[in-house]
Amino acid sequence: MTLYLHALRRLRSQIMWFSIGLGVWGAMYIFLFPVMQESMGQIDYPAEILEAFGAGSGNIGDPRVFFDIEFFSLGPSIMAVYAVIAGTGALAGEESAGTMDFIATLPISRRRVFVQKALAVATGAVLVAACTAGIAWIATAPWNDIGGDLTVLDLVVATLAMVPFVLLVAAIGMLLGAVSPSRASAAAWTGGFVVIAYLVVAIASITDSVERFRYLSPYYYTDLPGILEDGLDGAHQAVLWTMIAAVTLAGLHAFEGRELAAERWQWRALFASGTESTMTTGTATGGTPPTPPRSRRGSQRTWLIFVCVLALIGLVAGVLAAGGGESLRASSQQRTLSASGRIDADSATLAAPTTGIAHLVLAREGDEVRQGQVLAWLTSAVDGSEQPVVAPLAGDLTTFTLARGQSVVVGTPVGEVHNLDTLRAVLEVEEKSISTIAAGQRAELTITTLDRRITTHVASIAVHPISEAGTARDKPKYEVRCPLPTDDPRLVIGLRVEARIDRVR
Amino acid sequence: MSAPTSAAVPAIETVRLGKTYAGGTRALADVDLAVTQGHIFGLLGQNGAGKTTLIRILLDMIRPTSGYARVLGADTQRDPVEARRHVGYLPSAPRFYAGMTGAEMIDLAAALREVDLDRAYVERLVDRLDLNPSRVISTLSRGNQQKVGLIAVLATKPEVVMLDEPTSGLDPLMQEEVLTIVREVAQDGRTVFFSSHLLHEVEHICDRAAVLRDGELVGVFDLAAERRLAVRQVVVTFDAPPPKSALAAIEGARVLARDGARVTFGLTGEVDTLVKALAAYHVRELEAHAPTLEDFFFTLYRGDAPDDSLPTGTMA
Repeated sequence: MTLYLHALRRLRSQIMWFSIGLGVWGAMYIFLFPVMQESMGQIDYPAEILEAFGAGSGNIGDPRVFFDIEFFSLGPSIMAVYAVIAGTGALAGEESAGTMDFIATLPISRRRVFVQKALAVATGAVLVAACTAGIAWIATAPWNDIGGDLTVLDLVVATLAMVPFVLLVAAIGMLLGAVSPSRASAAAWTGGFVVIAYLVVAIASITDSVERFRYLSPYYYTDLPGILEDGLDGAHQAVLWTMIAAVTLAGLHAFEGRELAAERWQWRALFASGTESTMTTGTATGGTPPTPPRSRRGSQRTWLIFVCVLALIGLVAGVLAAGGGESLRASSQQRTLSASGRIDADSATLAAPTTGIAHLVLAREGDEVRQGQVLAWLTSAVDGSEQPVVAPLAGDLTTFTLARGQSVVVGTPVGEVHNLDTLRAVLEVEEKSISTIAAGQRAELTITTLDRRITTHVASIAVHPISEAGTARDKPKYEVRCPLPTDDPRLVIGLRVEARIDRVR
Repeated sequence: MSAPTSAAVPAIETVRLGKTYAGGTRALADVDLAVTQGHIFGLLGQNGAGKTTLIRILLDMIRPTSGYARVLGADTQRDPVEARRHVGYLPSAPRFYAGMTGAEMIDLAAALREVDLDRAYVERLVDRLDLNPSRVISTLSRGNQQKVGLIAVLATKPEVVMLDEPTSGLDPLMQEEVLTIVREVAQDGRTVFFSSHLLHEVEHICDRAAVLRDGELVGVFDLAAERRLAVRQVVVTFDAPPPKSALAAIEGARVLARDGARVTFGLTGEVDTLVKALAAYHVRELEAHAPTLEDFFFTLYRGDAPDDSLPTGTMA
């Protein structure tokens, strides 16, 4: 364990600075969120942009979406920098710095060197995540009233869920460090790999034609994009941990076969079943003829163990993540769905029934009208006939521009009727979430401009997606309607509404 | 810990050891060596001759492409941990962790080997090598860094000490001190395997020395035996040339050349006999030459066989 402690000691400044940096950065968002919620809630970000940052529902006023976008989209990349530094530093770094001479000549096996180094890097990753969570979320807990259903525990769990990703990157760093000529080249290749993995997922999430390629990126299986909203997936975590195990074992194999301080690419170390050594058995004079090295003799058995260990780790990780990830998902998915929209009501536009002159006007703007009520008479310029302007539905005549003697062309809008008894919030909900809500579910609305909260329910969910002229959307949204009280004159049509709808259990 | 190794087992043994790198560069070819325990064994060769490659194979840092090597009986590939257990290694130009002081590095070396440090011994070495161990290593000169490395290796009292160019970067006074320390290690019954391109230091302290050229073992010299048996040349200048017969009768000395009053003797016996025999004549000048390893070395490096006029080494 001495080497483990030594390796951990070498990492202590990395661990400290990454923890402080990430922790302070996260804490900053805790304090900024209430301020930003007000201003950002007003902005309609394009759904594609939000999705690229892992925000599914696109409602940035929701704390889950906010922290997903602001912290958990970039946070893993910063953690990945730690992983690259620590992973490539563990072995390749010692070699490039010349200190490997010192480690490699200790009376311990290469396997033990690798394992103790890997454990130190992993411990560092856990410490960085834990300290970050401590500084960013736990230390700020007294001020941590971010609203919504996002708890400190959710943030802590999500932060710790970055650890497997860090482990994978670090393992890749150690593997590349064991085959590449120097630490610099190992770091460059590992960093490049992380960037590509990240870009593949980001691009695949906004471009539907390449969506399937996201399965190629290990980043996808970390569940980090949108982790607060969507939680962890057992199968994904199984894939991820299997990758971590496979890369780590491959790295160990390569390191055992590596020629230290040789400063060249050594892919052979990865594929060779042991060392390249061949023995001139029998030609040795005098002494007993040497037997082949152990690694060569036991290569078949090594591979068998390799496969078994991988299968076992994948299985265990899947089961654990399915259970453990449930807590995060339980807190995010089973409670509420956030959505946004605007206030609306049943309405109709009044159009001129003919081209002609208004010779009789029977109503004024602001009048309450009945369905079928005649509001004006026009004299047609075409055939001289009398034609009425009729209210198509009961409600308030919110606008009415027709004046006596005014001439109009057929079809010209002359007024609007809104039925304020049908005042409602119309929310847009994505296809993937539509099945989690139902009519009758409680809905908590916030009208941000009025700073008013209203508790209501889901009245109806549209059976057709919202059509958008000219664009064929692959990810349709559906209208969800919630009734609003009619007694508050400040609730006017067009106001923006943030909503949190109880999901169906 | 393993059972004490029998003294009969060579400290280091290589059998037809060869190493060809992936690119086809041959670094070592069929090297057969045996280093007796308690000896100081020199490994001579110019840069690139394969000295470091050989040491790295012994430490299992790199793997041979033919043959095998053993350290205290343990195969370097089959049982690398056992082979390394009793080895202390000082690389040429050792490098250290940033920000560490000499004392910390020496402690770390012992801690990682899980050996209890002989503090008194460390202090003695620090004093003798005139090192300030509380300074951060990176602020030390090249020579002082070398001292830190040497003390870190010796402090754990390994059975086999492998030193790759240990005196490089040291001033002559310190070189002497290091060689004295190396001798003490051998007097302690431990083995020193010592690579160098400096002939004189190898010649002075080594029991045996191997010469490598382009990865091939050119020869192994028994320097201890040579020091005892070496034929010295003594050049005597007389006032007047003495009679031939008188000179021929001296026991253990043979006239190699005569140039008037200047006579060159080849000496196989004691110098004393010659001096007493010459007492009858008036000697103006007397010079004695011991043939050096350097003579061999340069002959070997030219690719020729050793010159006949020089004493023959014990060829392996």
